[in-house]
This record gives sequence, C-alpha cells and structure tokens, in this order.
Amino acid sequence: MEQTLDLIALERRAWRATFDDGLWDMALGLFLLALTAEKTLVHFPVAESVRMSIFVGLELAAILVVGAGKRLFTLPRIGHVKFNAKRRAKLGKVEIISALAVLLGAALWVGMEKSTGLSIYLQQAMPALWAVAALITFGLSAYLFEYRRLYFIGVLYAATVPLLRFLETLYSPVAASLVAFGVPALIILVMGEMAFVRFLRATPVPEEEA
Amino acid sequence: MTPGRGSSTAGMEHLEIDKLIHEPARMMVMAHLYVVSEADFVFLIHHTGLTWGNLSAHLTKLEKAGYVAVEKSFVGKKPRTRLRLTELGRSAFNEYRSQLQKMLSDIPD
Repeated sequence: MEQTLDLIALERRAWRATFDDGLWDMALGLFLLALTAEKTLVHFPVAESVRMSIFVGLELAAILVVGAGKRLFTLPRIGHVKFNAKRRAKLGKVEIISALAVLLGAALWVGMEKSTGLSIYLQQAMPALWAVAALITFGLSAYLFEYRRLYFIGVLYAATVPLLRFLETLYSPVAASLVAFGVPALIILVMGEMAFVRFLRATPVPEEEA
Repeated sequence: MTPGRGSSTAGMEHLEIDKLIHEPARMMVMAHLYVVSEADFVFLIHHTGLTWGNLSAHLTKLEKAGYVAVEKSFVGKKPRTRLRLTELGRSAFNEYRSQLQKMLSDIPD
C-alpha cells in the first residue's frame, strides 16, 4: 500500500495511468501509417477508391484500437474515474487544440498535395509550417495531458514532411515516402505495443472475491 | 461530534482525531476519492493495493458514516459501483488533514 500521502501526486498518478496502456501511441502510429499508405500508393497504379479505402480503414483501425482497447483491457484493470473540474477543463483545452490541429494538418496536407495554386514561397515553406504546427500541437497536448511520450511522437510527426522533401532529392518518391512516414509510424507503433505489453503484465485484472 | 471521532491519548486532550479516517487503508481510500470527482471499485483497488474484500469492508464503514456515497448500476450485464465523497466526507477529510498537521506541529523538536 502507498506509504506517503501527497494528494497532488496521487491525483497526478491516477491521471497519468490513463496513458500507461500505450493505446493512444498505437492509434497515432496507425494514423501515421495511413498517411504512409496514402503517400506511397499514389505512385502505384492503384485506383483512388482503393487508396481511400486503405486510408480510411487504417484510420478506423486507430479509432478501434483506442475504443475497444480501453473497454476490453484498460478499464477492467484500472477502473473508471471521473477527474475533478480542473482536469476536465484541461481536457476541454486539449480537445479544442486537437480539433484545430486536425483541421490545420488537413489544410497543410491538401496544400502540399495540390500546391499548383500556391506561391513558390508558400510551397517551399510547407515542410517548415507542417513541422511547427506538429511541434506546437503535440507539445501543448503533451504538456496539458502530462503525457510525456507525446513529446517524442510530436517530434516524429514534425520530422515526416521535411524528411520527405529531403529524401525525395536523393531517392525514389516511394522509398522517400516509406522512410519519411513509414519508419516514424513503425517506431510509434512499436513504442505503443511495448507500453501495452508492459501495462498488461504490470496490471492484472483484480479478482472479485466470493 | 462526527462519526468515528474521539479524544486521543493523554496529553493531547485538546486535539480530536477522526479515528475512522485515521486507519491507514481508509485514509488512502478517502485520499483517492478526495482528489477525483468519482471513481469505481476497480480504480480504488488499483491505486490503493487493497484486496476486493478488504476494500469492501472499509467502504461499508465509510458509507455508514456518511463519508462515501455508493451508487450501484449496470453497464450492459456488468455491475458497476461508483463511489464519491459526500460533502460530509470531504469536510471531514479536510478537518482530519488540519488536525493532523496541527497535532504534528505541536510536537516539540
């Protein structure tokens, strides 16, 4: 049993336990894998409907990992908790930041894919804009959530587009896409899986006594 | 006088400590419920390290004292027990903390 009584630490430990399971890492890894598939398959003779199906399928898999994983594995182990108003206010902020980040990311992505109407300066600035947007949104979310692995995930996300632009000058577009998006996606996925396995081992389901 | 309260040992008659909260396991339960709005049984087991039966026994005492509100419901076919500190429980825990601090600060170096 706990031997000290630090109420702030108790609350923080309970909050951080929410991310111990690695499910959000895996979901973010799958999301980046969806972008990898999109970026890579565009260079192959694959119908757009198939490409979109793969993209949407991986996005849905990311949502499923979090939804089903929390329900089947996490909640039976660490239980349900409703945090205090201060925490809920922080959660609200993160939700707003995440929504804005998704919109901004989508706008930048479309801007990079269909850059014909953009000025040359804006086209050149796109990788830097992507990196800054990723660092700010992931950094803020990591700070507000106290979810430390998210800082590293943010750095990996931020590196993708600038790395792609750099690698495209050296290798084929397929190889560049696979390395720039696929490798960070796999790193995040493996990190999430390791956290998940560690969580399952360290946190058994409590047995109800007869 | 609130439930579980009584005068403590000789020489400290001016101090009253809530004996119901003062038991270590119950103090941990109260502390965990104090820092969140509400939680379920599994959350408390995970964070306090108590067994199911032990926690159940302590919660019964805290519920009888009016410190903890217990709400039982079903999510699908699974029962869920939601627990939260009552206003009485929250103020009793606050009082307990200040009593404890005062008692310890009264001890000479």
